[in-house]
Amino acid sequence: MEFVTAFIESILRLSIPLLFAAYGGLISERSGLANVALEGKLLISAFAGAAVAAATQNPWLGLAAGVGAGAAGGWLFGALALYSRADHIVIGTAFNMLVAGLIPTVTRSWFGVTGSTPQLERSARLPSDIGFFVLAIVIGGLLYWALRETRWGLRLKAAGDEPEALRVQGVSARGVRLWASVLAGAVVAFGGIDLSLCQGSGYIRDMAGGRGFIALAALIFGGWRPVQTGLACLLFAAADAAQMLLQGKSVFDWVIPNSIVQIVPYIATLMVLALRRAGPAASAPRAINRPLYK
Amino acid sequence: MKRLSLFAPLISVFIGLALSLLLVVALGESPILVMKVLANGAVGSATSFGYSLFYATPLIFTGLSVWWSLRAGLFNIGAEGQMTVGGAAMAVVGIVLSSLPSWLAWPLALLAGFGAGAVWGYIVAWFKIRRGTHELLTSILLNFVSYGVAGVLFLHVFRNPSVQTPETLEVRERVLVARDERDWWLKPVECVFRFCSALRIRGRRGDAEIGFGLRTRWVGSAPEFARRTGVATSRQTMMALVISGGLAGLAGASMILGYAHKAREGFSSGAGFVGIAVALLGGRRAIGVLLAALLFGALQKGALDLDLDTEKISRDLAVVIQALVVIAVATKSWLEAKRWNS
Repeated sequence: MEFVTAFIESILRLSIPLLFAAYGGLISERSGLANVALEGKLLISAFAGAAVAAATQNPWLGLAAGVGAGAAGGWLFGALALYSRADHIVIGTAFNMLVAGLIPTVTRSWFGVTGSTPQLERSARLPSDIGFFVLAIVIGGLLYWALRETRWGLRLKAAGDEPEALRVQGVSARGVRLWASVLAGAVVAFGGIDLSLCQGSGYIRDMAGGRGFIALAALIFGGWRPVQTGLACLLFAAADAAQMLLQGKSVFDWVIPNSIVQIVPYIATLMVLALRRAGPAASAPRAINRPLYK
Repeated sequence: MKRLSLFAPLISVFIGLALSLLLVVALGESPILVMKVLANGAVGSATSFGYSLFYATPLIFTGLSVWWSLRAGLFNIGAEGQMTVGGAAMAVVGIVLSSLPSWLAWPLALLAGFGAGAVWGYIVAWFKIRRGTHELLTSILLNFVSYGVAGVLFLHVFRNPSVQTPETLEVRERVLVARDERDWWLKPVECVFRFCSALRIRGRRGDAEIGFGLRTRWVGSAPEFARRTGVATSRQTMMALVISGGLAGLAGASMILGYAHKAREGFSSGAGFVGIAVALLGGRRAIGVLLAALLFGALQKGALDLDLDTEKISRDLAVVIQALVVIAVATKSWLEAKRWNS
């Protein structure tokens, strides 16, 4: 029994960064802005949160800084992708590269080490993840409601499916996408902060470990819908929890190499994607990655 | 438009470098010192120039790999993983097939590298064609899988038990491509040319007016036209990703079969990701990819010295410069539009 509760607790904890990243991705992708920069946003917010918390010894200032960095990253990514009319995926990849290079460069000059922030004391970290998990679920519920019932939600969907319709209304689809990207950055940031200020004690190099991309897979598998996406995140978190459980275990006296165990979540993600039926057009926003001129 | 073909990349490199130097200033280091260290490390002496070429070699392969997929309108960013499995396959062949004569052994090793990368590319293609999954997502996930596969091979199956570091046994002498013991800095140079010239030329021919390369480009730039002309688009997609994966699979050759004589964990050291930047900067022609790879190879070599020779900047500055160059290249359509209007 104890084992089962520990396993469930582990799933819930591991799902937090995935949920925030996937919901951030959902906001931006439903507006038509293809978002492969989730990984970079997780990293930049995790780093900004940890850096400010280390400097001020106040986790709440770290939280604010992380959310600010996520929103700023979202703005930068959105502005570059939308106003240059370049391919969103190329810009997103470059954004991830930029963050991956920028953080270690900055840490050397600020903290004297490449790629990480100083270890945080218990008092400089956020107390528990439960609040984060609840917040993620609340955001999922809000999205479910907002996409159906609010003007914001309808405009978001219109920008992603039929941007010309918005133009007829006199609303700038590009503006809708840009603000969606800022909001998305702020939402993803909670996932990054959870990594560096709750689950970890400070920022370490590449601490997101591909979670931004697993979240993207969850978003695709969930058909860009909030409830299904949330469930997909829990599924992938379960694969990750199983991976942690299997480390160092042996089957018939054969110790499973950690290299194999560690790739379980990625294999699981690929298998789930393989099970998804063909025909992506059914659920993907129709105008995703389509350049806008107004 | 033709006139822009060299102008835009140069401007992009300039913008990327200028913004990075602004960052250097903001971090409180002298940009002149940084530039000096970069230039000195990259082309300061014959040895460092040789090493710049050595660093450029894998980038030529990964750059061509991404470039080939871009030709077909696909974005294969899994070169890192394809390079890892390709390198693992080459090392395994080099270790296992010790009894074969040299003329058979090293082509077999290269073939194994190409094949392993191609299999990775095929998986991506399968997801793209059969499940409509964007190639970007599958190839990123496969990168992580490849680290695991290579990890098992390097740490467990073919591990060299006599050293602490996680690396494989030595590749047999016969499989090595560059065995020359002349001026030792020539070795990397030789690797570059032995490996690359043949493939690069093939890459260029394929891109010219012969049927196959042309069809690949049609699928990329005018899929509807290609389909109606009777081109089997999904087959072209598959071939493009398989070739792209295979090219990336060869990227470890100069390291494993030429220089280190063994594979160790993380030997790809980001060359697959830099390959994306190389391909995007390289533009439409293979020769551009080659030049971009030389530039970024020199940049990586030069940046190594930043760790020691500056107080506040690390080698990761090279990644920042590359990312900014990519952003500048990608947004250049905006520049072009501006020039067009004026």
